[in-house]
Amino acid sequence: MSLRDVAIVGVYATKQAKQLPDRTSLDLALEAIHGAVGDAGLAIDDVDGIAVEWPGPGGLQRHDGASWARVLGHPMAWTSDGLFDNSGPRGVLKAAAAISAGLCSVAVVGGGQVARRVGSEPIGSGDVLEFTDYVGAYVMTQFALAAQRHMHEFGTTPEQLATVSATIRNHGSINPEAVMYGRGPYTADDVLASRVISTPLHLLDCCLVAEGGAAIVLTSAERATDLDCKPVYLLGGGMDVTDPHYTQPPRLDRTGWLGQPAIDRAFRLAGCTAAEIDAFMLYDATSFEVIRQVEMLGLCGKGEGGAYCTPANIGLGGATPVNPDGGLLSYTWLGAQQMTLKVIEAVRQLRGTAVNQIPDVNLALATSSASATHHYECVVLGNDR
Amino acid sequence: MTTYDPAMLPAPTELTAPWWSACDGQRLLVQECGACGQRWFTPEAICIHCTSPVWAWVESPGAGHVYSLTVVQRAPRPEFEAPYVIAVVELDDGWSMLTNLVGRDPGKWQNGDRVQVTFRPVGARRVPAFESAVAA
Repeated sequence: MSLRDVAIVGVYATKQAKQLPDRTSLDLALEAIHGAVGDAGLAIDDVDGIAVEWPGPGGLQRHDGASWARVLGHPMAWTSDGLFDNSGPRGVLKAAAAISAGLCSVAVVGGGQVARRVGSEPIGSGDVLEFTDYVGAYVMTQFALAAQRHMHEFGTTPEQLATVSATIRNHGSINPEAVMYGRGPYTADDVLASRVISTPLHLLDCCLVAEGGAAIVLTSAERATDLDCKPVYLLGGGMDVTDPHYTQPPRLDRTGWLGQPAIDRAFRLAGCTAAEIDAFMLYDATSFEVIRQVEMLGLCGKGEGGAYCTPANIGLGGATPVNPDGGLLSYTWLGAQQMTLKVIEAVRQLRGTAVNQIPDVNLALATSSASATHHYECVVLGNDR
Repeated sequence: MTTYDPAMLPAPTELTAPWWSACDGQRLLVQECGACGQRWFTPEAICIHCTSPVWAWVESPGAGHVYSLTVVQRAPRPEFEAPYVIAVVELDDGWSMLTNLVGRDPGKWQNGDRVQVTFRPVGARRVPAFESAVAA
């Protein structure tokens, strides 16, 4: 058995918005589960594997799997507990491993979140970090440190960062599902004119904070052939974890190339190169993260990512289109499930049903997390096994 | 940023208590492996280089240079007064830490600047920060 014996058969994204005041994390997650199971042409009773985030209230905190068995009304054959294990490429890879090992037949990955009500304050580390919080560090400051070192070593410019932001935000501005739909179009100058958050990052270089839910259904490629849906196949994937997140300085020489082993493994398993990928769903917590990833993917040389990331390359009509949905910068960011939405957008692009559809997509890449978080995962998805 | 609420400081653990106590006495400690001789931060119960459980706290000279820095214009909480500087400082004795740069206009700092540890008060405690090692 291999990843190729597993297919993604259902996807679903709830409405994403800055705030969904009439929703709870649980009902967003349930909407996503039912939506994705329905999209696959399956019934809830078919689900016997669950990796769905449930950040409360209710349920057993950090023991989401056991809670879901009760909520969905029947026992589970395979469960996964924990925020990042239940989302995005990592959740998909772990669920695929369980299916290919025969531990379960139909697995759901995803979750929902409204709990991040932090008012106007920046997102912190998520825990009290003994050697991080007293420094006044929060998520964006850590991403800024990685970006600043890259600029120092390679001459990457604020204008290049701003070009990434403007390009991806412009994708979101024409995506009716995006939180920032209708906001824009932006130029690089508009990004540079937005206030500085933490040098070199301006407000428009930083991802959103929003709310919503997302889910993906996986089953065996064999069973997928019996379903009334267009399966998308897992061709490759990989993970790279260096430290508990936000505990260590995001040194470019240590975590700046975080994810390179994951990308190398993914392409080795998939038997393809980045040049063959038709659509890239790259984790864009900040504009800089796109620059560093195009370098790791080998689309350009180390240090050349800033110059590479022009609209002619990463734009909707570009040679290597990045984040057609608007990404974390403009579509949505919702705690952990933005990672799941990277995979969902890849599936939609492969099915030909994306809002900002790239023509003739046969191979797509989805990545999650980035230089400051100390973990990185990716999947290569395709229409053919 | 000197008004940081001391209630935000976590309680030291059994592992980290000596480090915090040393800071109160304005000394910077770091773990050093008894097997491979390397140093590391943040604290761990075993050497992160060779997994040896035999290690000791040693005093670092606290001299180093700036590896990367960011001028924070948006503070996470009202207790922090922006602008302030967060940096990765690489210590000459072979380890690095996330810290603050103080004592100079935030916009003046550059990568490679030589720095020396200093300690700033946070409530009843002190925490390490770095100032320019070059006389003003």
